[in-house]
This record gives sequence, structure tokens and C-alpha cells, in this order.
Amino acid sequence: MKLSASHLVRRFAAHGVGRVAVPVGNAAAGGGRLLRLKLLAGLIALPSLLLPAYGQTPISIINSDHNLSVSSPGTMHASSETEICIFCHTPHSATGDGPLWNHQMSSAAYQPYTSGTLKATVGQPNGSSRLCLSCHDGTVALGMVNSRRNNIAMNTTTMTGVNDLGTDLTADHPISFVYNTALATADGNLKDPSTLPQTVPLDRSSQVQCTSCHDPHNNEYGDFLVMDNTGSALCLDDVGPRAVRAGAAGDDDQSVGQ
Amino acid sequence: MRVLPETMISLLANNKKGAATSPLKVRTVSEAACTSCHVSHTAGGKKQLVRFEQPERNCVLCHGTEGPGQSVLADFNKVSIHPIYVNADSHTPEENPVNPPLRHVTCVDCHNPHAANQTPGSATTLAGSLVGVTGVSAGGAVLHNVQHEYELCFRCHGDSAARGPATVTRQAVETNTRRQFNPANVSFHPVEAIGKNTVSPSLLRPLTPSSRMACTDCHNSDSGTKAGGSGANGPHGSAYAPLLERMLLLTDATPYNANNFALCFKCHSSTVVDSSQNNSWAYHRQHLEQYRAACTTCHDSHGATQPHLINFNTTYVLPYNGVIRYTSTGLNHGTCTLTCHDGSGQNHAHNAVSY
Repeated sequence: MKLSASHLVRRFAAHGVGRVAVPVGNAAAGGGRLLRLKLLAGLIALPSLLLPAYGQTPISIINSDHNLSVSSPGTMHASSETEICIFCHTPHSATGDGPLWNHQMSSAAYQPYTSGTLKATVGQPNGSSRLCLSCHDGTVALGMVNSRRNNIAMNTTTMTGVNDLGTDLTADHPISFVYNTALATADGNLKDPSTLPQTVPLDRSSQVQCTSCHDPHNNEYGDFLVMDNTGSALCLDDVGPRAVRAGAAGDDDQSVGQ
Repeated sequence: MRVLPETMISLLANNKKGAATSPLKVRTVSEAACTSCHVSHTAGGKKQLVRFEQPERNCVLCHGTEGPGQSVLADFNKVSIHPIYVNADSHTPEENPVNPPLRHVTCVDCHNPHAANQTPGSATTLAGSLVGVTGVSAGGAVLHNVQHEYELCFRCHGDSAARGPATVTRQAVETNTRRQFNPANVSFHPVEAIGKNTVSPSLLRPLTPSSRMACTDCHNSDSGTKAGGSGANGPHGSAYAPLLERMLLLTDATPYNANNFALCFKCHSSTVVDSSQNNSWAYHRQHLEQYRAACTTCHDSHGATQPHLINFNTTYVLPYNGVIRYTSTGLNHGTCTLTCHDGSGQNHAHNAVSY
């Protein structure tokens, strides 16, 4: 299956018209997450959306760094490959690691985040985060996909630069840990997960994953964040006001640095 | 989300929310946003995801020479400092606050960047810059939210096993400031409680014998506004050891000059003290000018087991027949038993000399 760039413009231009968040199960253990379906409804009635200018909209994957095809606006891209979805998804010959997953998975052992004040149990990355790390740990060739006999030729073999997190995740926000009421209580600065907005989703196992902060299909807010982080709104949706409440009596705020 | 320093500084300087509700530039980090100090990925400091590995760099981004906050960097290059560059990266939030594995002081040992505000402190009220930090109470208990400035100081300068030695060698050695300021002592500077004297002729108005004081009334930057300068206040660094706001000569033998004791004369009138009149103690002038004694040769600023903060400096004051003692015999009068090797090079034996 091949999708041309113009197909994707139509597909993602519909984003502004309406979208539904539908929980979709998949074969990966603990890998359930929200897959946003972009409604095509209204496209016919809005032919102006097909104008090239609308293709510049930041909500399109085409104009984001996650377009790894030759038409990518980013620094890392294929030498001649025109398909855009293929780097992550394939309708056939999927790996089974995620939703129609196509990219070769990493076999790296990771050093997870740790600190003396961390109350969560953070182990090896699991669930959908492993899908992200199949490119973002820098150990697997960007063009190594299951549906092709040979790697797709790229202008760089593996992820480089600031987006290459490596396998040492000790300097990165913890992922793949259960975020439940018990954790919020133990930490004291975390909001109860029941109060989190739907824009900050946990996975089916109530775990924080990359997708809790990032939506790989939507770069509307920059850095593929799930919501506008002005004033650190995204961070403060998780980390509640207790952490920043000045001089609260009895606030034994060990996480602050004392 | 990556925020370049320029972006972050702009964010702070244009903090409309803070500007609209308060005269303060930035009230809390929550308004300035988490990403000023924390980064989600590839954080230099790793733990707590702080931006830089060297802990103080996270602070001087704003509180250095280029940030929107008041710069404190220059103070840390002075003669007498809180040594933020020594073992600084050994700090952990979960460490034993009194006896950490390595003695150190980094910015967050004294400041809570999530809780601090710019409310000025006073002798009895905690400054906003120190809100939400850990200290030790007058009774010796660890407090996670100090209510008084001295409680913060007691954390490292009280019971802490690795506290420094005495600056001045004295007849009665006490290096634990928590014990020195104990109101049960015979005399003490009024940090924890109002002092013992009901009359103190040298006190400059508006101070009275009922006044209180804070550690930072003496231990402070020598270039801050409280010292008459334009820099940041606070005991970050000073040209005058031990981290004093003003000059204080700790040795004898220098010809008398009131400027050498500017710290004491901040609160105690030099004209009242340096006088032969009987309006404080009639022999102050003789000791200061003729014998060239320093204030600290007889007085121990923090607290003493004898009245009037008398705790002799044993470099200059030795026992007489095995006795070194001051006894108060009423207002402005007392007796001394000691041998004084004074600043003019003479020995003076005092056998219960009455003044």
C-alpha cells in the first residue's frame, strides 16, 4: 500500500474538523495506547483543505520530523523512499510489537532513570515506549523495517543529535512505571491519576509511557507534545500544586532539593 | 520541551502573570515554568532532571551576571564564602540534613526554588528567600520548614559533626552555635530570645534591649544593600571573614580605628563605647586605644558562660595563678582575674581587679 503525500495532506487536514480518541488494543504486552483516528468527514465539503498551503499546517505528519521519507522537512530522511508511514507501520508483514508495527525493534538493555526521591518502580522500558526507542535509542538503523528485504537508504544510518536518547535513560524522565493513587500518595507531589486530563494518557496498564507526553502523529504543539506546554502546563498536570506551594505548613517537600 | 536560555530568560522577564499580580519579577518557579530548571530529556544533572550537572549552574542561569535575577556570583569569589563549589555535586535531596556524607553547601541547601519568594525578612520573621528549607530547631530537632533563619544556620553550624573550628581561641570553647545562642546561657546575642541586659547604653536607635536580631545582621554580603552597597544581601560571600557584613578586626596590636570594628559599631555606638565616660564601661577606651585590644579579645559575639558576652581570647588573655574569670559587680562594673598580654606588648596581671 502506498500513500502519496497528497493523500496524507487530505488525511491529516481533517484533524481540525474533528477527531476521536479510541483506545485500541494491540499485541504488545502492556502496549495499549490511544490511537487517534482522524475523521475524513467534511473533506468533500471543504475542498479548500486540499490546497497546498494547507499542507503547511503543523498538525500534519508530513511537515513534521516524523516524516522520514525523502520529502521530510527534517534533517534525517530517506535518500529516495517516498512512503511516509512505512518507517513505523505496515499493513502486511508487521512485527507484532505494536499497531501494524514495521520498524525493527531494539534489543538494547537500558539504564532507567533513578533518584533518591523517586517513589515509582522504574524498570526496563515496556509497552509503546519500546516502539519509540526502536529509533530513539540510536541502536537500530532508521531504515530497518520488517516489510522490506533491505534497509531503506537514509541520509543517516541511525538517529543522531538531541533526539537520540541512547540506552542510558538516567537523564530522561522516567517511563514505563505504574502511576496509581498509591504512587501519588507516596510521592506527595503527584496528582492523583484520576484527575489527569485525557490529554495526558496512561496506557492500559496505568503506566506512564512516552505517549503520556508525546503524540507521535501530531506536532501541533512542537516536540510532538500532547498539549501546549506554555507555563509548563503539561508538567503541572502531573505534578500538582503541592510541589510549588510556597511555605505550606507541614509540606515535607523532600523532592524540592532540601 | 527544550527551552534555550535566551527563551527562558525572556519567559522570566516577561512573566505577565507575576507582573500583573505582584511587584515581584518572579514569585515562584511555577510561574516561571518548570523548564527553566528542569528538562525532560538528556538532563545534565540527571537526578531530578535538572538542566546542569553542576548544581549552582542551574541557579546562576538567572541569578548570575546575565540573568534577570540579582547576581550573587561575584560574592562567591570573595575571601570568605559559603563554599558552593566544594563537594557541591554530592548534595542529594534525601541526604541526612545535619551530617551528609560529605560536608557541602549548594544553593538548594539554603534555598527552596519551588517555594522561595522575595518577601524581606526581619530579625524575627523568615525571609521569603528561605521559605520551605530544612533546618534544626533551637531544641535540636530537624525541621523540614524552618520558621526562623537561625534554624537554617543551625543545620550546619550547630550539632553537625563536621562543623568548622572556632575562629577565635577562647577560654571556654564552644563551636556549636545552637548551644551558643541558648537563652539559658548567662549571656548571648538576642537571636533566639531577647537578651539578658535591661540596659545597653551603646545600642543605636531604634534598637533597644528588647530588640532581636538575625544571624544575617552580622553574617552577610559586604556589598549588599544592608552593607550600604547595591548587590544582593545574604551570607553568600564577603571580603570580611568570617563572612561578616562589615569589617571586624579579630587581632590585637593595631592602632585603634573605629573602622576596624565597623561590624560591632553597626549597632553599638562607637562614641559611647570608645569613651572614658561611665556611660557604658569607663575602661573601654583604655583597652581599645592604649592596649590596642580588639572587641573580640574580651567579647564572644554568639554567647558566653560569663555576663556581657565575656569569653576571653586566649591568644592574648591568659590565667592569673590558674584563674581566668570575669565577674559582674553591677551596671558598668566588674572584676577581672587574668594576665593580659596586650597589643602594646606589655603584660598586665589582674588579680580580681575591680573596675
